[in-house]
Amino acid sequence: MVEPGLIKAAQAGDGDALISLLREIENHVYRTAYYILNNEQDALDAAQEALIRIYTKIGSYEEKAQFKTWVQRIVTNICIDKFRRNKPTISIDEHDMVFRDSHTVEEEVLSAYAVQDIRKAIDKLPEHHRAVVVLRYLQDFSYNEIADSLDLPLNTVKSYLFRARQQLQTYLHDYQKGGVRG
Amino acid sequence: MNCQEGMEYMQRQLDGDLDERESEALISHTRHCQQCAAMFERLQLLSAGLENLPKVTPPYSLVDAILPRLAELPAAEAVRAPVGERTQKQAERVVPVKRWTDRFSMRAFGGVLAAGVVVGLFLVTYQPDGAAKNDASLFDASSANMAMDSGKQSSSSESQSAPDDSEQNADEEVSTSSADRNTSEPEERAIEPRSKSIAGNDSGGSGSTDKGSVESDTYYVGEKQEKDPEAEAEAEPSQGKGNSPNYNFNITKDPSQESESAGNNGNVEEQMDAIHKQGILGETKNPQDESLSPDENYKAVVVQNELHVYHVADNKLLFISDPVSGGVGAIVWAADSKTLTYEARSDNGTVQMVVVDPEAGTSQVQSP
Repeated sequence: MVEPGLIKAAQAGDGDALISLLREIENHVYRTAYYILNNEQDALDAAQEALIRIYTKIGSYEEKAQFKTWVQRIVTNICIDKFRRNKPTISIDEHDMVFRDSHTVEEEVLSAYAVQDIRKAIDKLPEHHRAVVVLRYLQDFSYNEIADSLDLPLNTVKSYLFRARQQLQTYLHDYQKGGVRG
Repeated sequence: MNCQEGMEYMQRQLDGDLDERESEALISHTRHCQQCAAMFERLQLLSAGLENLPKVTPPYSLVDAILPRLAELPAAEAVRAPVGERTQKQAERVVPVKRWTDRFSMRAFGGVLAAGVVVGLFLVTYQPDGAAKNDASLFDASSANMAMDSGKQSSSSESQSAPDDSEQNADEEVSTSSADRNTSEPEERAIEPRSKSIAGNDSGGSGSTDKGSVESDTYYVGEKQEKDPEAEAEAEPSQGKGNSPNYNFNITKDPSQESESAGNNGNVEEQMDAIHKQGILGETKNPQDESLSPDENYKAVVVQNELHVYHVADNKLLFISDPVSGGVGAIVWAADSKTLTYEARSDNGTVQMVVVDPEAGTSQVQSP
C-alpha cells in the first residue's frame, strides 16, 4: 500500500517522492505486465512504459480513485495495446466451453497444476479475461477494484472472471489428462 | 439449485463472495451432484494454482533503468523554468523525444497531403503549352510557403502548436523542394539567377544528412512549447537560438524561402527567415543582431538580451552570456578573432564592456 502522503508529495512536484513512489509500485506493475503478456522482455518494456506514463501523469491522478487501481489501469491499458499489436484476437466463444469430462471423475487423482501449465493456459485467454484473472490473482483485487482498473461494469468483470476460470480449468484438465494418459 | 446456479455459486465461493446461507446451499448441492463436486474441486485447485503463481519481480530495477529517460522528461515539461535557464537547456539538448514518430506521422502526413492537393490542383487546372517545368517548381516552392503560412495562421490563435506546425511544414518543404531538385534542378540553375544558392545546397548535401538530428531537435522544442503557457512570448528566443542547432534546418529550407530573400547570403537569409517568422507569429521583438568574426570562424548572435556565440563550421554553441537587462550593445571582434567585446547595458543606464573568449566559453568584465 502506497502512503497517501507520498502520492501527495509526488503530485506537488517532489521529484524524490515521485521516484520513491515508482520504486514502490514497480514490482506490481511488472507482475501484471508479465502475466498478461506472458513474456519477460515484453513485460519489461511495458512496465517501463507504464512507469514513465505514471511519472508524467501523476498530476492527473485524482484521489477519488484508488491509487493502485489507477496504476493498474495504466499498465493493463499498455499491455492490452501491446497484446493487440502482437497477437490476433481470439474470442473465448470460439473455444469449447462444454463440460465434457464427467465420466472420468472417479478415476482422477487431482494434483496441483504446474506453473508452466497455468501460464500456458492463461496465454490462451482473450485479453480482457486475462487482465481480469491477473488483477484478481496477482494483485489480489476485488471485483470492484478490477472494474475500476479496467473500466468495465461489475457484472462484466464477474462474467469474464468466471468464464476465464472455467476456461482455464478446461485447458488444464485436458492437458493433465493428456499428460497422464499419453 | 440447478447445476448452472451451482457453477455461479462455486465461482463466487472462490472469490469469497458467498454469504453463509449461499455457502450452505452450495455445499448441499455438491453433496448430491457428483459432477459439480468434481468441478468445484478442480476450480479450487485452479484457484489455488493461480494464487500461488510466483510473484515475479523484474530482473533489474525498472526505475533505475528509466531514470535517464525520466531525467529528460522534466526538462521537456519545465514550463515554469526561468527563461534564461530554459534557453540554455534547449541549446544543450539534442536528444530525440520518444514519441515524435506518433506526432510526426499524423501531422506531417496531413501537411504533405495539403501541399499535394494544392500542387495537384495547380497541375490539373494550369496547363500552359510551353511553360517550363521551372514555373511548376517555383510554384511548388511558393505553395509550400502558402501551406506554411496557413499552418501558422491557424496556429497563431493556438500558439501552443505553432512550433510544431512550422516544423512540420518545414519538413514538407524539404520534401517538396527535394522533389523539385530531382525533376527540375538543371533548368532552375540555367534560368533562375537565384537558383545558385539551391545548387550550393544540393552539392553540399549536408541538409539531408543532418535532417534526422534537426528534426528531433525541433520536435523537442515543439514539445516543450506545447506545454508552455508562455509559448508565444517564448517563440522568439527558441527561434533565435534555433540558429545554432537548426542552422542546417534553415539551410534546408532555403529553396522555399529564397523567393523572399533572393540573392542574399546564408546569414542574411537566416535573419530574414527569423524576421519572417516573427512577423507571422505576431512577434514584436527586434531583429537579431549578428556579428561574424573577422576570420569567419565564429558568429555572435544577440538573442533576447543574451549574447550567444557559435562556431560557424559546426554551429556549436560556444558561449551564452548572462542576460543583459538593458540590452546588448555594440559587438566588436578582436582582429585575431580570439575574443570579442560587447556592451552590456543595464536598466539604470550603466554600460559595461565584457570580453568573451569563445573557445574557452568564458567572459570577463573589462575594467573601465
